[in-house]
Amino acid sequence: MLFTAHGNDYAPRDLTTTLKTCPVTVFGASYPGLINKGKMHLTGAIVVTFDCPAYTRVFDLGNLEDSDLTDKHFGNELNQSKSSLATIIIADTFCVALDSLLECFFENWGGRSACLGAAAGTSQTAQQNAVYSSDGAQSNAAIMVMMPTALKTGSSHGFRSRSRTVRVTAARGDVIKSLDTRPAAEVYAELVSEFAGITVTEHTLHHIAPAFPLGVTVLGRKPLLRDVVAVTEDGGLRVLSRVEVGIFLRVFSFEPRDLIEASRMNIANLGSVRNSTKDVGIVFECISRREVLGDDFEGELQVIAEGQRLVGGITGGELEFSGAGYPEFLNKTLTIGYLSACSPTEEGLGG
Amino acid sequence: MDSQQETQALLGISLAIANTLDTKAMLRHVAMRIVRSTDIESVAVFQTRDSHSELLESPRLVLAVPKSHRYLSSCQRSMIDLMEKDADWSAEDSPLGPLYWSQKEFTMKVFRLPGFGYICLGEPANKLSEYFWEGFCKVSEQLAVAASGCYAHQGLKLKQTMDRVQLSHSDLFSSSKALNFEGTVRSFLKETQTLFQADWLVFFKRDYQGKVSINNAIGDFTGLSVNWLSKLIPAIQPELRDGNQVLIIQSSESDRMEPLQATLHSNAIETVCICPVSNGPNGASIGFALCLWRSSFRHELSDFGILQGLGFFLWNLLNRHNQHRTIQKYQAELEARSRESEDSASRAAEANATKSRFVAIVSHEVRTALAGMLSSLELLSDTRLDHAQRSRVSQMMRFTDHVNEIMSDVIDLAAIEEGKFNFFYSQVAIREFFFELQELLRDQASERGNTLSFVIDEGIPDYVIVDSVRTRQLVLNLLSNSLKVTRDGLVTLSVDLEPVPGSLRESLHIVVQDDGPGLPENLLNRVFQPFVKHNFSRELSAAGAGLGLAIVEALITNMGGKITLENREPVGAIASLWMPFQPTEQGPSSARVYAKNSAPIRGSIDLAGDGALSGRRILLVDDDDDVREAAQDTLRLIGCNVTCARNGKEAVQQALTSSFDLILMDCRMPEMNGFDATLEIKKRLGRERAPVVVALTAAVMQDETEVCYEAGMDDVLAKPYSRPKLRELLHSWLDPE
Repeated sequence: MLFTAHGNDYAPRDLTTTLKTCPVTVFGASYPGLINKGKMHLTGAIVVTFDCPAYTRVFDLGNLEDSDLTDKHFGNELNQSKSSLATIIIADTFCVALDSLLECFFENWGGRSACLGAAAGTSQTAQQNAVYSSDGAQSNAAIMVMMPTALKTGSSHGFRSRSRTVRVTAARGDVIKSLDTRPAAEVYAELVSEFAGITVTEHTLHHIAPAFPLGVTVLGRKPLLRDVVAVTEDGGLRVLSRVEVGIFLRVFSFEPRDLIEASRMNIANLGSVRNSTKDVGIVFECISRREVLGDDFEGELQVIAEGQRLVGGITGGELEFSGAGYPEFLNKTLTIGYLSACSPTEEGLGG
Repeated sequence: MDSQQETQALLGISLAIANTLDTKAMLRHVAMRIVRSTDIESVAVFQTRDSHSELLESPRLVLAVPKSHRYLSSCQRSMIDLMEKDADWSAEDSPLGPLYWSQKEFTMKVFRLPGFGYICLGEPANKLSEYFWEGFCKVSEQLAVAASGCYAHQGLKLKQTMDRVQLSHSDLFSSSKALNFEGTVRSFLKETQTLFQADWLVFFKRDYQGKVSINNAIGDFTGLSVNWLSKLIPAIQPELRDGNQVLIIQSSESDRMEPLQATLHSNAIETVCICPVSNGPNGASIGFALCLWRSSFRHELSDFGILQGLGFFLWNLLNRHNQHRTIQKYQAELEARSRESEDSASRAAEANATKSRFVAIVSHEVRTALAGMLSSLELLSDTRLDHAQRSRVSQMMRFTDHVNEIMSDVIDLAAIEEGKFNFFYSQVAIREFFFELQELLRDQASERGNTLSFVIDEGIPDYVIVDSVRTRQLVLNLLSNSLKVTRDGLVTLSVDLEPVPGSLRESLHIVVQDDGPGLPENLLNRVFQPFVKHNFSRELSAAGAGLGLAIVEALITNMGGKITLENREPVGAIASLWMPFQPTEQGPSSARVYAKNSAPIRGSIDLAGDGALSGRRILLVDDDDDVREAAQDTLRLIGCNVTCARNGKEAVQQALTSSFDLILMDCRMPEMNGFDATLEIKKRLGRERAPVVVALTAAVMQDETEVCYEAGMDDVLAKPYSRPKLRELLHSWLDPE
């Protein structure tokens, strides 16, 4: 499994040649930054090797079909395996069909396989060939990897809410058109104002919204956070990931210490249930946590450093699924997964 | 758990209900909402009742979310147990509420969906409160209503789609010229296969012995081995013995016959549906449609009826195909007969044409000979003869006339039969027309002591447009017949105006009555048929070949008129003729002209030399030496100055080098015929300077007469001609006043 930093600025052709000529199955992605031993690196690469076979499949997310994710595409050996299954899904941040991919995954593998994943790529607006496989580097794609090994996962965000609840009354894709039958942007500004005493305008939204994500209530689980990214022309709100009509939302906010504490708890809880000290932990830290934590981000990294053998990347979105419930696409979350029987190596990590 | 959040989650689930009319899509949407808004990890929906709310034998899994539901098989077993053992709970009147059961690994909660089935929810963490589950009972009621509605709608929609597919293929089959049965069935099976999401759909037709084999299969069975199908078909046969009901066999069912199960398993077929192809439950099966799925039967139970309809549609198609083949066979026979008939007609037409040519040739030769005979007899009668000799000559001349009349009748009849009969209409002074006829027949009437009386109604217009030649022929024929059969009696011709019977067309109603013996009863119905001779009258019998009245009837019918012939009391016969005409208000300056190029009739003219014609220069052209010599003598006797030519070429030379008042031109001659010679003469001399050219022809078929006029000839004199007729013609052109 390959993690590379966007700052490496690899020539796409060289990268593809390297990946294609790699003698073992390779998968991975490029990230805005890498995390290793409690530090963030803007250049360099991390390689994680596994002792078990890895079945990989790259999806062109422009033409995804439900049947693409059925058993027959992942080999008889895997299907007949009695051991636990681990799935890693890494997708291009700019893919619009990530929700469909997760839905297909849940329908076909839900209850059978734990999953960890991330939306990789650059934080800049330009799309790049961020997803790696033995076929080369690709954009607008996702790679799904299945391995006959155990995977323990956990996630946390630490955001809290005391706002009132509003219902989505009109939505299409990732745009919430109305909340409680009123224009969504207007209601959102009202909620933020009530909640934090801050006035949100069209011009200030970009600066204020990262600190006030919307949260979806899920009974018996942590609320799902949805970053607000823009106001549409008709007064709607564009958010990260699909939102459906009929669900209830609240505005969330944070205290830096709460976020760091949530991460600490997450890492501690998962560290206690991992199978072996040889297990390697993979961490995906949402890039917006770095933005909202600012100087306190060092504290978050310190917490990560306390975890055992944790390596990973800064991401545009995260995925964590223990096998129960539904694998939602996450925002503003720190996700961790411990995979059995794997060993990391380092290569040229710089500051 | 926060009850407000639970309420919100229940409301969210409730709002997801009935977002579509597709049962599975709707249930899936609700299930996804459940797993996404709660910690419930799996949802399964079972159907236990059909669209008529009748209890099924065993619960049928409609939906599992996720498909990899880890407890699904346990869940299914539990559902079967539930239905078998806990009848009270599954009864409709039992209180609503979840039924729990727990096993080591999980807790499953089951809710009844009244009228539809059950929904099973797996919640491992058991975090949801009683409040939530009570609320979910209400949600399940809504879900049950929506699922039943969707199910009913879907069945209706599938039926409508199937109806549309059947209708379009029925139209396709009917509109196809060749009634492509196999193509239509293939296309129909393909669409139906898609509709039912089946992996294969093949139609097996029974042969004439009632056997089914792969050789009689229609449909695409790519991917299925022939050997496997050969094993499957006998395994299915016993299932069909029970009747014509649609059978659905799941390979997982335990109570089905084992050989069939084994066969299905060997090719990974999960479901088989057998649709007998027959005209109903009690009809004889003529084959069956075999529908195969690699998965469980995904459709609703109401689809059974639609599958039954599939069999009936195929039966109907095959039936129509067989009927069409029968019709085609009859059509082929009919066409063969029609071709035979056409061939016969063609042969008959050819024979008729041959006959016409024969008639034309024979008549030409006979008339040429008659012309010679008549001229010779006339010349002989001019010599000094004793009484007995003169009597014989007269007799021979009558025989010649008789032969000539028969030839004329034969030619007319041939022309009528061949459809080459044209009429030439012109304006006629009708009173004068009848007066001249009366004058013409006066001698004939007096010979037998008859009185000929003409009564012309005052209402008859002075001028009418008729074919004068044919009218004259018709009336003369009737009068002549009457005069021949009547002795010392009265023959009356009366003319008035009366519409043609059965129409409003105005006509000259010409009635000829006589005091003769009348017609025998047995001939009244056949009198207008050719060759029917009136042997009751010696005179009439001897006078013709029995063609006269046939010609009269044909002529008047072609003119749009009618003729009847009947006996009258106490004696005699009445012939009634309705002759259509066009009235005209004003006649021409000379009422004597009543036919194209026809010369006026002047009555009897002396046989002696004629001063008016004396010295007139006549060029006589004929290749037959005898005829030419006889005609030359006759013309000289009349007083004409005659120059002879033996063919057209000589005639042209003579015409160009000498001056003539009139040319008598034979038509058929060697070297140059009369038509070409006339064209040449008219061309070289110009129409103004060229002399009058009169055709002498023995070929008097009507179309040949037309050719004469087209060649520029001015008149036609049919052979044989009598001296008075010749003299009459010469007068009409050379001494018109």
